[in-house]
Amino acid sequence: MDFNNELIDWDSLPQVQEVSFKPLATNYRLLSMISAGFSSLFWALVILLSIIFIQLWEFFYLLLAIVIWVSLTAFLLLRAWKLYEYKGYALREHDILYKSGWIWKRWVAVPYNRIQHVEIRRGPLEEMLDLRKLQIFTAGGASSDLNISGLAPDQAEQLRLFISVKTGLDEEE
Amino acid sequence: MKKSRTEIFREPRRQAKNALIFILLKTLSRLLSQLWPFLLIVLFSNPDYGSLFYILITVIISSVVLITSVISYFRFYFYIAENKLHIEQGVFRRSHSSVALERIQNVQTEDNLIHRFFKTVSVSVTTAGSKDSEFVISSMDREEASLLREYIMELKRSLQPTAQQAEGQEGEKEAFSPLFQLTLGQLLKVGLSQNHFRAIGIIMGAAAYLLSQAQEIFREDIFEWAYTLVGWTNQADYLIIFLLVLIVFLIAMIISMSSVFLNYFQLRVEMGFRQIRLKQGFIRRKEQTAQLRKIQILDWSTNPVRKAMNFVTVVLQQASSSSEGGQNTLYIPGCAERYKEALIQSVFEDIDLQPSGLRLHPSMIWRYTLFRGLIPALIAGLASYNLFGWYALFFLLWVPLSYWINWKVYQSWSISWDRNHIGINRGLWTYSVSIMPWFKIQSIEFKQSRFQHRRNLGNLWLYTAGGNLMIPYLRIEDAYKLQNLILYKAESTKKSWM
Repeated sequence: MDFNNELIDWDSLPQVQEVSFKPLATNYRLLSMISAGFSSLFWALVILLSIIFIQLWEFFYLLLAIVIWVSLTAFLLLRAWKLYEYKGYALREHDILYKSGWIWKRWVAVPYNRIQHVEIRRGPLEEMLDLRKLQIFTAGGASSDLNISGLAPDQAEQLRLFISVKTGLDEEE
Repeated sequence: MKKSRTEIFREPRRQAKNALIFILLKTLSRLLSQLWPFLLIVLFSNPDYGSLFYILITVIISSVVLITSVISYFRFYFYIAENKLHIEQGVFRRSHSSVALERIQNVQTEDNLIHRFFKTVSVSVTTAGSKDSEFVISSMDREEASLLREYIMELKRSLQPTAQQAEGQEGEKEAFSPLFQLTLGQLLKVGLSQNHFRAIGIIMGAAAYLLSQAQEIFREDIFEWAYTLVGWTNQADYLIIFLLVLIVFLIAMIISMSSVFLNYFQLRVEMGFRQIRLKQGFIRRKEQTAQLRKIQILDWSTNPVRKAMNFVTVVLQQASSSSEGGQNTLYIPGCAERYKEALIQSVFEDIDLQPSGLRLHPSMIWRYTLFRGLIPALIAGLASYNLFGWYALFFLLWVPLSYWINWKVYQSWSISWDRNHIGINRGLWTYSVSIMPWFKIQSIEFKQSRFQHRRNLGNLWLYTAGGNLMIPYLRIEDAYKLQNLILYKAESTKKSWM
């Protein structure tokens, strides 16, 4: 084997930073607002229970609890509203990219030749809003799997087909 | 292979008779771990019931154990049918599980003293990339086990596409040559260099748990009793405290050293052309084999004690099934420098790591100081204000110390690479190096907190099928560069990641 250690030409590599991302289905905004509503209810319950158990029946504490809950809810709703703008996916020839997060941003790249299988899921909420969730599994365990929720049904099916064709092709090569 | 001899696996088979012993022990330990507080109560709180009561309890428990064990022994079957390995088991609820032969990664055998006495082994079957737990046959005739292993591997080979066959299969006989073996003296050194603080943590945790359990049972203030026992409340005798600390440290040392002794006694590392094999253990002699091409990450780590004694600990992380049992991780403690180099060279061909010149952003130092220094110090200080008064301010001394530590940690980070590999070096007390081939990644993730986003920084996560690596506080342009390169490497290679 001839070994040559040439300098890597960084700019000639395919560039991930120049990709334009496709947004999720517009209904996703509604979905995330509703689930933010649910978690706000959950926190209301937690706050209420802690007031009952620690017996903080004083005006000051009740006011404090309400202020905390309202600001928390406002934050959750704002975050849910904002999230939509920050989420998106992109398909390249050899990998799928996904970005998300408003406060904690993250973005993921999964090469097609590492994908084990793809699944389309939907929960009751997603059923109601006619949305689908695409789950992409790799061999790297839960931390490296990719979940894209808030896709339109045909969008999800299209993605699944595209990815399965791509993974199949890569295997045959 | 003789067909007639392997034919036996087509019929449902039970385990070897002595499997009953293991089932008994397992049931007993499970029962005891559930019932021990109850047993303590019985033992201590009702002395007037007389011996009859105890006999009754013992009889009931042992008969329950015996009966369920015998039933579960007779209801355990394994067989091979339709290219699948099947196991049927369960006393009250029958379960039937099966795994396709081509998904089987490895058939491992293990024996302990009881096994050796009966000339049997336990067999465990591991699978890759699935949520199935692994199959365990607790006892089986030694020859039968090797026959089963050969049979499974042969069937598996015949099921697999021919392309992969050329690469060589795990069932094939391979010539191993020894790399090194730990002598007793080296084992002692390894034991000494262990992290004894971990053992101290275990002792503290166990003591706290036992005390709180005992407290519930005896309903007396055990802590007060313990305090008066050491004379704590009356005179703070520094000598006693010092002695106690010394004793705890000694016990911790004994615990960690004996665990090293039990686990790594006569550790023997053997290299084959495509595989590496470890044999180790005192009571349970364990044998682990790994395919070199399945190794995703090689870690080696050292600390000042180990450095002085001139050896490192090498950890090989294999592509693993989702059950993180550590079965797929190979620990090689007490590995001398030259053997480490030999290991690295044989796991990763043509490796030649050079400094990359990539630097992390120094804002890491004060961010870490904020989260690991200032905030914990403030919380500890505020929480203990009632106890210590203004002395609680001493907790703030942790902040400059933490800054110094984080500064040192920051300096210790360095990233090296060559055409096919990346090496990540870091650590202050425990200095460790992780090496992985670029193309073995499963996916890449770049995460940014709000602060990091403003500064165009972020943490880059590299996920593999055998563990993850993270590079913190990377400048975004460097992260993009690395991502582009790694994706290119993973996508352009024809090599299989496992």
